[in-house]
Amino acid sequence: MLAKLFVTNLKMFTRDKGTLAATLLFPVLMSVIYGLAVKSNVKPLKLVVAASPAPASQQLISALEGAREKNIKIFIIRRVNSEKAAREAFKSTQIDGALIVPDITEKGVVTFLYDEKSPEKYFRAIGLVEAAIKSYNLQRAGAVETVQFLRQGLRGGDRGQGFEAFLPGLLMFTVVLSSLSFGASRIIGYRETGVFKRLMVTPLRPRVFLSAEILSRATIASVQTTVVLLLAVVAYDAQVKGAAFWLFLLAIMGALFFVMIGFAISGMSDSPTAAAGVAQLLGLLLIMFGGGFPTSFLPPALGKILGYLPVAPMSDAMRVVILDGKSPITAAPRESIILTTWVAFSIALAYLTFRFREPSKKR
Amino acid sequence: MYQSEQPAVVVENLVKVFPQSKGESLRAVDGVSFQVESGEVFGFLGPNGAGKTTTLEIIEGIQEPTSGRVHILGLDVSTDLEIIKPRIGVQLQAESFFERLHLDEILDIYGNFYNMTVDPGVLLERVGLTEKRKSFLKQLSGGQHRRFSIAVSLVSDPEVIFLDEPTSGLDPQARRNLWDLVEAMRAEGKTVVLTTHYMDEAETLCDRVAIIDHGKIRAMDQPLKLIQALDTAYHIRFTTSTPVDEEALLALPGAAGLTQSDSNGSPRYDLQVHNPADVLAKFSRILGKKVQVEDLRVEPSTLEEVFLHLTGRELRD
Repeated sequence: MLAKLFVTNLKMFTRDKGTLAATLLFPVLMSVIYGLAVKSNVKPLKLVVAASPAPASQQLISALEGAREKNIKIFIIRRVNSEKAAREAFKSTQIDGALIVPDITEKGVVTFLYDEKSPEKYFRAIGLVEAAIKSYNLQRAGAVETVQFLRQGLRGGDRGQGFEAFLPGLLMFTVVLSSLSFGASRIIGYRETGVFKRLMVTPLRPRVFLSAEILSRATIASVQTTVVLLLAVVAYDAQVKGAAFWLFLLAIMGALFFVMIGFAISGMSDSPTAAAGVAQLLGLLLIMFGGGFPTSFLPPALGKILGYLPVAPMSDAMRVVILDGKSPITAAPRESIILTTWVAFSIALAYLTFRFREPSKKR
Repeated sequence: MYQSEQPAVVVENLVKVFPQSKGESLRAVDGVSFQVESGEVFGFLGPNGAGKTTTLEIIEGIQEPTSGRVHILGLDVSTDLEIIKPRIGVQLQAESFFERLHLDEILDIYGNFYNMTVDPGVLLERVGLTEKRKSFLKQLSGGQHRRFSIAVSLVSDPEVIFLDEPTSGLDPQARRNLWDLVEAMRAEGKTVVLTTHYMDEAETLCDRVAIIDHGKIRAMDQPLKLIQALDTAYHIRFTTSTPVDEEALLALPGAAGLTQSDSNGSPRYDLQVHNPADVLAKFSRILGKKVQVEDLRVEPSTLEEVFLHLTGRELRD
């Protein structure tokens, strides 16, 4: 009975084009958006170069070619023979700047032409060229760099530099939103339209129905996780350091928490309308204060309490897996315990409270 | 066709009170007792809000009674519901099924709930929906939906079938179709308990009916016996060439009422009597030779009149 109902649930899910599209397209769409954001971070600086054939000049060009600092990388896409040709090429929209390198065997001035209208665009590039020239000068003078300078840009809390930095949040919102939206609304719809009432007069037990729901939601969450991970790794070169198993497990736990809470609310509410309202409000609060929005403006005591909500521990645990390559049990034990406790609590509550019958019926 | 000595359904002093706002309460079912014999088609007749559906849902185990007891096939619904469920079929007044399954798939999964392998084709053929096998629920008309609901209620080959207003809102053809289905169930020896607010339906289908209003059973018997128990069990309707002595007609033994209307300029009378033979024997003597009688008909009363007699008002929508 359980297996049949599980398969039936999946069949219904695949036939619900709207839900299917929202469940699978949402992560794809979000991946594409985040992917574009990450890719657009690395900006190529396309230069045309007019360099003297002198070995010293060519040495300098070699030092500059491919130079990269954080999100700017120099690409020399065209070489011309004269300064005039370089200036002409600069007028082309395909070229970001022009570098004119005379014969610097003895000494010389290297000119970098850039668009005055958007100097900020080339701010780092100018620094990069300057640094390369200084380094070349030191090298020529036979000086030894005894002190080196390393510039490392960091954003608060982000350990990843690429798509993987977005991956925990993307996975969390994907499973949470679809479980909240489609899980709770489906349950409420069943109660509203009389599907549950009809099931009540059959030998089907609510706990079997609930178990089939758990299996199907876990399957759907796994499919969503697979889609997100595949896109992240294949299309956006995300560096997932930890085992994918943990990500699947965490995503399933998140999905189950929200679906089971939906069942519990449905089991305790007087009416489908009340259940829908409570589910939406609770979902919104959990996302808002569980990592979706900053809680720093709240009183410290309240902020501390909100830290025990399940959403933030879920994304934190995912972050540990993706960015640090560690098991959440060892690297984020507190988060793992909080999330596990919430999931166990919601499942237990759902099994205890969910009935096909409405809890109380007035006329 | 009664098959077993054990009653299929026994209801004893059933009461259902719904709490309402401001501490008030509604007594939807008020001391209802009856029993349905095995193989019988039993009908609950009454207007909307009379307590029919609540009574039926308590019997089916959907609602809990405030007090009273229900036994189905000798088993107590309050303690043995899980044993009873596979032996009963239920069609609810407002029900739905999984939307994104074809009809045959719904029958298949419902059969699975009963640990049975069903042949959806056979069930759909019984309710005339063979060609809709691969349709979704939303593609069915109201009548087809009702017929499908009945097909689902039959997946476990139940001994007792409960039908809650199976023909409500259907067109005449669809109603007749469902009547045939109920007749077929009767022929198979199944017990059918149905609710309706259609008097003709109860009269045609039911071996016995219980007329219920305000949560109480007002009368319960075979339809014909309920009608015959009326003082106005028959109507003698006739048109005359000239007006007749109405007092003399009402003075006839067994005459309980007389109404007069106009029929193309001639007076038309409806004399309500208990025993038409006694009245007709003295009829021509009362009218006299000068009065010409046309279009004389003797017609039995209907269940609707029984209901109006018992409740004193029109049926409500």
